[in-house]
Amino acid sequence: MAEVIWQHCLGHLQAELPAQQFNTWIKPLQIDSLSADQTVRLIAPNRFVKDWVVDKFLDRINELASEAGSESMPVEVGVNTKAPGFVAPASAIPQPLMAESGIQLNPAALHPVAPGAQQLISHKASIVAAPKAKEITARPTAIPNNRANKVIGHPDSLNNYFRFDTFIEGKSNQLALAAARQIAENPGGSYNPLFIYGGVGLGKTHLMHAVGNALKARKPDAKIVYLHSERFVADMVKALQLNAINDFKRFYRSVDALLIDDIQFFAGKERSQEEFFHTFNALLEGDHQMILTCDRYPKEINGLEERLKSRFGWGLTVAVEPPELETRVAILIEKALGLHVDLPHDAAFFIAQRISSNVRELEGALKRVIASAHFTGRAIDVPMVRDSLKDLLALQDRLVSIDNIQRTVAEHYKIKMSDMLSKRRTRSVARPRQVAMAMAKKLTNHSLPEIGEAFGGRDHTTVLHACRKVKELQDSSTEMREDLKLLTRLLTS
Amino acid sequence: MPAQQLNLALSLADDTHFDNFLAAAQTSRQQVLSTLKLQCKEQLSPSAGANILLWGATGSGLTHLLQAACHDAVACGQSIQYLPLEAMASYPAQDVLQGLAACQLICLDNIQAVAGIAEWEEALFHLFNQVMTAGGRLLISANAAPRALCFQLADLESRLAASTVFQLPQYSEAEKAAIVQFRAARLGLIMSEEALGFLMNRAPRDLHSLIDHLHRLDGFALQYQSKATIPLMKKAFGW
Repeated sequence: MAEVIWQHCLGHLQAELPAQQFNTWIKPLQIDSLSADQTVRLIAPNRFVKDWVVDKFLDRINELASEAGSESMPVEVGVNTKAPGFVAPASAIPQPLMAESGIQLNPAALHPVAPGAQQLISHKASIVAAPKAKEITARPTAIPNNRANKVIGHPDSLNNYFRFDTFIEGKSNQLALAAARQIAENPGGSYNPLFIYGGVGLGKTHLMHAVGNALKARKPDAKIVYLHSERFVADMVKALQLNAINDFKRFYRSVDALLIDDIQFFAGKERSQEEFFHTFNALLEGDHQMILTCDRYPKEINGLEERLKSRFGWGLTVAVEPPELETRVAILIEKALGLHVDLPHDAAFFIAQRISSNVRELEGALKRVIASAHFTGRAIDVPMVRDSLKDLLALQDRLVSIDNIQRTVAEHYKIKMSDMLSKRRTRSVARPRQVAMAMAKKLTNHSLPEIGEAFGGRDHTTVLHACRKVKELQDSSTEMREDLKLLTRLLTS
Repeated sequence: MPAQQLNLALSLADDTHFDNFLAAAQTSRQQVLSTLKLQCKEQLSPSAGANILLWGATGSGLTHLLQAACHDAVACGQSIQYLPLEAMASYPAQDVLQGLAACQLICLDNIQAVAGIAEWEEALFHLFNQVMTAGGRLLISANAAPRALCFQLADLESRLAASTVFQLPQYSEAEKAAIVQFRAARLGLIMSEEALGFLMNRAPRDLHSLIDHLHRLDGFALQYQSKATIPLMKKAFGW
């Protein structure tokens, strides 16, 4: 009955609402087949969609439902709390396809995710390859072990590009690399856990994946799980919600190697720490390898239990430092090679000299250079690199204010700030004021009346006159040209 | 915590397309345009540098490009999400971003609006990781280069910096005038050079205000059955 009522509502709403609104808010609603009471219960993909629908459409939906004969069946909208992630409606995709190919409907492509989805033009109901079937989609007691592993697990979570042969060795990462190689040869040995710490973008994740890939290459059926700490927390929350914590435990304690990135995000999450503590102990007892990365030394992680900090130090703790110049050059050349781009050594050297903080910034710069090379058709050399990175290297596009212009110009011409705004018309004051007005027009977005107002309530025609006068002087006087150049540099650098 | 009710009156503008984005030949603006067009067609993989961050001052065309990329991606059959973060910053980040990573293109407009909000920074950091895993791409706009955005979370800042970063320069006066004229023509508004000059000299000179004045002027022109003349502007805007 509820299904019939909802179909009636859908038909009318589709006709009444613009397609965008219908697709964004109404289409993702699903009828709750489990609703046993006398209600038509609709399930929204998240709380925002629910709130939006209740606020904007529920009255109309109830009207339509009444028309369809459900006066005694009020319509309710709820949220899918059973699976806070995204669970494909079973009817949406043929089961054999899911089973055989590991392809599943990606419901996020069906559902608006937030009210920002009002801006969504179209949610394409698409079938997307899902290499990582991470969601827990059913009560674990009802699913066999191998399937539980499949839904919780991370079978293809290793990035194939992150290998030892693509990792550039330097003084800054020598020790970490040696330890990682050692572990790849002899997992679960004395370097367990391996704790790699250091700043962002220095290759911690790369090393971790490299070990995973090496282990996988040696033993293809090994269960190597890489995940970000946030994923561990999310999986655990879902498992708790689904009353499937035992399956969660079973899964994580059964892996051959567990690689967890950025464990600083465990800070303050006590229940996750508790669970991780037991997982950690179980894996260590079974001589299964663990590799953890963090942005700081274990003892320095605030909000992390002492017993965990202590255990993290049981194996080997190694730091990675920012790469030195030669390593940065080598990294750039390696990355360019990976993108099939010929990066001359001197161009790589130029970039590496100027960007020293971390590898991600180097990557960003390289991508920018490659994009420019594609666009202009120019070969990559130092002048071309300098040209394409000039805006990237500028730290900030300083927004210039009229006030700042007035102060800078007054200081340059050695007049008082109050003179900028005064009615005095002597040349020693009027000329700097004109320069400041002209610069305000050039460097800000203020209108001429606004600029006039900022200069002691002058008319916009005065500003216009000042702009013309300064232009004339600029054309005729070297001194004025130099002044303007200097002032512009002072204000914008 | 009680659910917050969003009440946003925002939508993708119908006229934000690549083909009405004015970019002079051989300029950085044209380079950005060409890169964005190419990216949608070629479906670049994340390893090839799919994430793009555009930065520049207000009125340099950032929102237009992000929305145009959305239109283009939809035309290519991709799933998209456009989020103007200045309007979303006061809402729980996790709820807003939940499930977004499954989209093929995610546009985060005005990312600086959430800089310094720890919850948002962490949620965006996770979104970056999830998008990378899922093979989607992010198109981000900001008012400054990544390192100048004042994000507290270094992990997020470095990921932003790893994007292909382009600066969009401010429009010159001549470019702004050309855009106003172009938009006027699309509105069917007849505007002489003198009238255009009058508008440019008196309205606030950022592009948003100019376009806003143009739309208001269009309303007055319809109301008074007049061309966009100087007297009409004086009457309309009290200049």
